[in-house]
Amino acid sequence: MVGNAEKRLVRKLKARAPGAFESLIKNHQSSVFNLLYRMLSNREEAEDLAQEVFITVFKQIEAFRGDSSLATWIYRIASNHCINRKKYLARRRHYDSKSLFDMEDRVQPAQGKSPISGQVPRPDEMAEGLQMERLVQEAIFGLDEEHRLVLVLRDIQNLSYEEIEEIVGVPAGTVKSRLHRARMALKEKLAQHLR
Amino acid sequence: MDHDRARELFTAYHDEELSSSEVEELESHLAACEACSVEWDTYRRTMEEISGLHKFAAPVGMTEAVEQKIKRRSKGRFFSEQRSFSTQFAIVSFILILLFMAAYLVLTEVTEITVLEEDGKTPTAQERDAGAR
Repeated sequence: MVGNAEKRLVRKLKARAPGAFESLIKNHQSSVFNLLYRMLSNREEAEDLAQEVFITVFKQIEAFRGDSSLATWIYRIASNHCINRKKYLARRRHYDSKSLFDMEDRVQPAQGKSPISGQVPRPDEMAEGLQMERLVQEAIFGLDEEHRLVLVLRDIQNLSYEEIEEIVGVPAGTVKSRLHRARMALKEKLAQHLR
Repeated sequence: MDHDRARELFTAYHDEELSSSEVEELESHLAACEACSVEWDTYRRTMEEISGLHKFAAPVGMTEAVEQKIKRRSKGRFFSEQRSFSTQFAIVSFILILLFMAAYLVLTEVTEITVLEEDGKTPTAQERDAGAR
């Protein structure tokens, strides 16, 4: 499951070799942050939790046996942290998405929407795009936890069903049925804006 | 194929996981059923919007923030700044010089008292001060 380069990195991480942990964070920080941002809809919470994810990775790297890829293992840690943080925030009735969609946060425009030369979107198109993105994010955030996690992992993080099975810890059939329900629920929520 | 069955297949159809016979059956249903065709179109456009969501980059300084937290929680066991060899050498040298000076002063004092005792004199405080000078 784990390639040679990854095995070397894991060996270095376990030996606390200088630079190894920095390398791991640089490789995985954006995927972890994006997952948490989409799950929590709050920049500060996502940033804080991403740091906690890497602290857990640092503390538990000895327990990593290489049965799955390092990325899958990190995603699993991130998902567990996310579920715990959601419970904590629910107890505190915390919800604040005002900091989402800051323009400077974006680095990778989505596939097919990249503003290439000669196709720079007009301000009204950009405003419309932002509005739609906000609606989609709100609809995703309105899904229940287990459906949202599967949808974000599959349709935003672009992971395979096998990887999602390992991360979430449920059989492939359950992953697929959760994904189907999540997509159908989103379709219902967004239908009036798409027709 | 009924409407419910057709809509159950949307996800597998979108992810290209249906057999060719299932694809054929679903597509002929969609061609004949306007309601399901509209549903499929909404589903497809929903998927386009989801896949079009922007990817957010990690905040600048994530590595440093994580390392600082680990350093603080481990009470400096990890990610503490390592002193350079020259700094370590300077600190050790300074401590050794202090030790030599202290040892020299103590030995000088002891030698002087011993010499005076051998001469049969017990030095007064003034003599000791004078000797020290």
